[in-house]
Amino acid sequence: MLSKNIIRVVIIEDDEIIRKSYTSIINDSEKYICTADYDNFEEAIKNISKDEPKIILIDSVLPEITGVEGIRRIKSAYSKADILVLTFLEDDKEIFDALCAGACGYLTKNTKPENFIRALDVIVRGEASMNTNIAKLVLDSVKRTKKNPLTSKEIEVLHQIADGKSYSMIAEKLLTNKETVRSQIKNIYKKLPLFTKT
Amino acid sequence: MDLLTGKMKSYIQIKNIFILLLLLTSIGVFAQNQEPSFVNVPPSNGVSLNLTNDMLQDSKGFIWFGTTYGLVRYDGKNFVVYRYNSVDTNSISFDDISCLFEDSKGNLWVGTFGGGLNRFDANREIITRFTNNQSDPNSINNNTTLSISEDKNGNIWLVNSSSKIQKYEYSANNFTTVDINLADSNGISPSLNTLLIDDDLLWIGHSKGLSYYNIVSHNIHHFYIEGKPDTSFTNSPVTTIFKDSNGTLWIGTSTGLNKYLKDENALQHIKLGSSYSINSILENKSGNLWLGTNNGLVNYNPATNEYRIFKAGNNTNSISGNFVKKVLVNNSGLLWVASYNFGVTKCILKPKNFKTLNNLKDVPASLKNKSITAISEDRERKIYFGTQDGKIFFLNPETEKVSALDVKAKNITIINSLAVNKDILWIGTDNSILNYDLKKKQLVTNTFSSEQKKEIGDIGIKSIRFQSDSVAWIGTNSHGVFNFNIKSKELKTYTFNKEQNNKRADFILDIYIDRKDNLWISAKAGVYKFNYDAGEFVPFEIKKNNVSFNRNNVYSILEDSNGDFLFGTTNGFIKLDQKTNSLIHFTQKDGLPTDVITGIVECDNGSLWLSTNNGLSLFNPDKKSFTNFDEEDGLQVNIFNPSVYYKSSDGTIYFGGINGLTFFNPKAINLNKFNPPVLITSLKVLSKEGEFIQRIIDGKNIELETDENTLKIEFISIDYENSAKNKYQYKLSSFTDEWISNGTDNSVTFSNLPDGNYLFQVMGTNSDGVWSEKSATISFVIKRSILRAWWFFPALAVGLILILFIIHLFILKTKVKQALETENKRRHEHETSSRKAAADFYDELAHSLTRISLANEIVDRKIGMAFIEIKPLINSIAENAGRLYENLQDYIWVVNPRNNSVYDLMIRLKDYGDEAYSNTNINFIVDGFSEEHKNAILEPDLKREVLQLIKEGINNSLKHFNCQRVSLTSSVQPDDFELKFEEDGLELKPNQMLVSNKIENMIRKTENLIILLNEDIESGNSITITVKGRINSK
Repeated sequence: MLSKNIIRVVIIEDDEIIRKSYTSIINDSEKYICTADYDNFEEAIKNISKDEPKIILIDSVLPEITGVEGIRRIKSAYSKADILVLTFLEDDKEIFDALCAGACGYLTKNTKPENFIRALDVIVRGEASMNTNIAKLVLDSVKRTKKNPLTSKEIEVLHQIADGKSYSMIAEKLLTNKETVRSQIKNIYKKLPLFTKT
Repeated sequence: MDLLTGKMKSYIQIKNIFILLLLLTSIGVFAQNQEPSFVNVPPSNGVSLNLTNDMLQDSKGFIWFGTTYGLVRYDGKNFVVYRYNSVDTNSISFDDISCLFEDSKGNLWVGTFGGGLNRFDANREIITRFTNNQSDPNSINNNTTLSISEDKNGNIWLVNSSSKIQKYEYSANNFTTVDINLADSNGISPSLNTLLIDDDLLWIGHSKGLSYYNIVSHNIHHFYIEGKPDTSFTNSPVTTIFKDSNGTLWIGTSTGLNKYLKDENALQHIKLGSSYSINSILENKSGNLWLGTNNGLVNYNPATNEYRIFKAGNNTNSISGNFVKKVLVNNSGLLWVASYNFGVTKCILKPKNFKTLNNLKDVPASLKNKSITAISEDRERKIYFGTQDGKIFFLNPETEKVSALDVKAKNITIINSLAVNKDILWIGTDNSILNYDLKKKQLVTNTFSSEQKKEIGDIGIKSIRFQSDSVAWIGTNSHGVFNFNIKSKELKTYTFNKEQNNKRADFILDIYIDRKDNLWISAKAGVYKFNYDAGEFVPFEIKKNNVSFNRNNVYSILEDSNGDFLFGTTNGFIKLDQKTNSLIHFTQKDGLPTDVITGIVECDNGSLWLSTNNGLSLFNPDKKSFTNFDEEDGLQVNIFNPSVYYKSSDGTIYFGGINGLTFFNPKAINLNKFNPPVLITSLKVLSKEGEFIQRIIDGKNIELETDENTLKIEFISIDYENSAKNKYQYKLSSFTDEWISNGTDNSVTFSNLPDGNYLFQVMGTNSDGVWSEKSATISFVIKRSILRAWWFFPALAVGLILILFIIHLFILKTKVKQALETENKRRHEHETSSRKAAADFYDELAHSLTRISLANEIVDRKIGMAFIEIKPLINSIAENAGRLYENLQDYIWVVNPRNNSVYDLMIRLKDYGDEAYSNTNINFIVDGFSEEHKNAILEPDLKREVLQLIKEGINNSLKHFNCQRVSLTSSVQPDDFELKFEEDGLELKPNQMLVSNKIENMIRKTENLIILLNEDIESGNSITITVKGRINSK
């Protein structure tokens, strides 16, 4: 029986070394436990509801399915988890598509163990990161949509990031702190599937 | 025409004097030896002259009619009607015209009954209306104008129905009322009717009589005598005032004509037999006055005090109505008579003087309109005529009595020929030859023997000529010609078809015996001349162009007084000059009314009269010109029968036509000698819609566009006697330098004229061929086509070269573009392929590095603290793999050409810093860049060096103590950029370097940058790295 404070994580990654490594790193942490790791998507989707993860780490490139399609299906099958996409390289378009499909953040696979756990912490805190190019892509989507679900604050954050402002500068301008800015970014990610089609 | 009175001079009039005397109502009448001819002005569509109130001929020659239905201009051929148009202010103010006047400026003043006054500038077709305006004292004070005149200063005077006299001055362009007191001793003012200005005197005709007012001294003189009845000549209402060519004033009143005696300053009444209310007075060229009265037209000769009255009659040769409102004598001497309700009659005072059976008295109606087929004369100078229906009648020229001749022969058909030998009338019919004794009034039956009768019986006889009293030549319609000796009874037959047996060849048209007693035969086979020596006919042929006696019938042969031979043919008139043996051929193109000449007669002065199937023509051998005459000139008919002509012993010439006879004394023919002015009435340009659009002719050179090169020019010869016969010739400089005959057509059309300056000249004749003294001209220019401009072809050549050059450039550019596109495509494909390969490679590399890192991490965790000595190695593997991975990411970013600007670099660094400082309290400030810096391009190596240096700076700052603020600022100049990194952290341990060795190594290795490294804690920023490098503009 797991403690209620332990956060359940599921990994979907076809590379065994990577998968096992992440499993090990997660399990070695105090806050997280990898309740299941899958080397294929079908197995994962079949069991995801039973696994009841809080966080799902999913490879952006799976053999039998695209990352975007996989996220969408996972999100349909189990919407309670925050999904983080694992990528090798930071391809803005690939990340944006994943975010639009329902992911709430991304991690490069070579992230150092301490940063890896820190990234999970960020997600758990309800925060997320967004780079300038992703902000521009989101803004474009906002302009195209007829029903915009974002708040004015969230849109202001988007504009500020797209204009090249740092989180510190945005926080100062909005009279808040960097954590609040990153919370709004996560909110944006959550609303992103509502007004974008990938 | 009814002739009521006359002092007879001619024998005709003497004969009728007793009848006429019965109609005389006064002495002092006169007669003329020639009757004027009256012709109604022909009606035209939309033109009504029935109610004509005034007429005038303007200075150009146009006749103007002021009618109840508008103003009408007439040029002899065409009417132009000017009427009120409610939507056109350039129309006359009212249709009911009361009076007309042309001033010295050439403006036509048009008064109306109740609709105001108009001034018409006919040259420019501009009408100015003047109507009464109660609030304007300088407007006309009544809209009905009765009479208009002009003083020597050019001021216009008029009298209106309010009995006011007004003066119009051009300079002021307004009217002032002239206060003239004409009231009698009882203070009663007369109503004014008419006025006339003569020098300083304004003559006023009014209801009490006549007065004048001196416009300089303002004196007034009345001619009426108070107390006398208004039927007395001094007190009769004056209706019209006229000044003749001698300066004498004539006063028309309601009771007759008065003459103003200047020396006595008194009026003299002219007795005209009865009281005539006079409406109009005019003078003709001979000084006779013509009076339009309420009871006919009166011709009065002031020199002899004789007069003559013309009234409307039943026939057409009279005025049309007896209420003559207005008379007009135009510049050629024609008299125009406007009869109220009955229209306008044109009167030729000296008509041509042709006679017809219709003119003569005592002509049985049954003979008047016969087709005359034969003419001859007996020894008593009686003229015999044969008709188409076998009738014969004769005319006594002295009495002009016509009588039928009953030869008491049966089965007489067409009378083809008549000839008198002594007292025997030879009659050639369509089926016989008869001899009639004019004395015994019986047929002669023993001229031919019974055998001869059998031989010539039932043969149609076409012509009979006597070479002497005993030798007759008889032309037939099928058997050639017979020669018959009356004394010896010998009959010889000459035929012309022996070889061909062609009866057409033996159809004789005419026989002529010249002054040398040569015998000429005109047959349908041609013309033959008799060779007495050989006793046979020899063909006479002429050779000239399309003239052939074989093909064209010769209806008439004549040797003129010069010995030249003349042939009237169905293809014109041929003159054969015996002396020069030259031949002149005249046709319709030369002025003949037609090419079919049916008869030729020479008159005593050498002129030739030609009958044709379209009237008569008088040929002047000297001028080689033709004067043509038609029914309007008095001919009974225009179509004259072939070979039916005769010149009698008294010189009278007879021509037989299909519907009567025309005869005349050539010396008595009155020719129209008037030199008519010729006017160009319009120039029309063919529009693109295919219509001719009229251009204003104002004396200036008319400018036409290049494509307005099809023109129609209309002109008119101002002679009204018989306008249809007026002929024209023109020339157009730059087009033809010779006069070109235009016949009677009063327009000419030029198509597709090339550009250039043109002068069109036209001359016209009167009805009898007398040419105008001056030509009318109009100049116009058709603008030069751009095609003909001197610069066009050079410009075209340059343009073409330019176009070719541009096309060449375009093709070249297209080819280069295609080549570049191909190259780009190829390069793109190559790049895509390379990028994919690189991406695959990088992916694999990253994957492997990740696996190494993670595998190393597992190893590290597995061994724990068991193999402490190898821990540094494991960490080193992890660190190198991690750095390699990071460098790989930077490298991929650097080599991506889309990330090539200062802006991209700053964004990259900002995003990196944001992530790096996300979980710290460091305030990360980025400043100084904008999207404009996308144009500041960095070389990849330089970009990489900056990226790695600043990233290291960021990483370095994270290791420092109490770092609270990090700033990254960029600035861009035209050729270089500057990037400044500042942080305020402190070293964690004493003597530890703020700047890592790694940064220093980077600075050392840098080749493309100028880097300033500053460590100065006191300044607030512990480290400042300033990077400068060159940029390229996009």
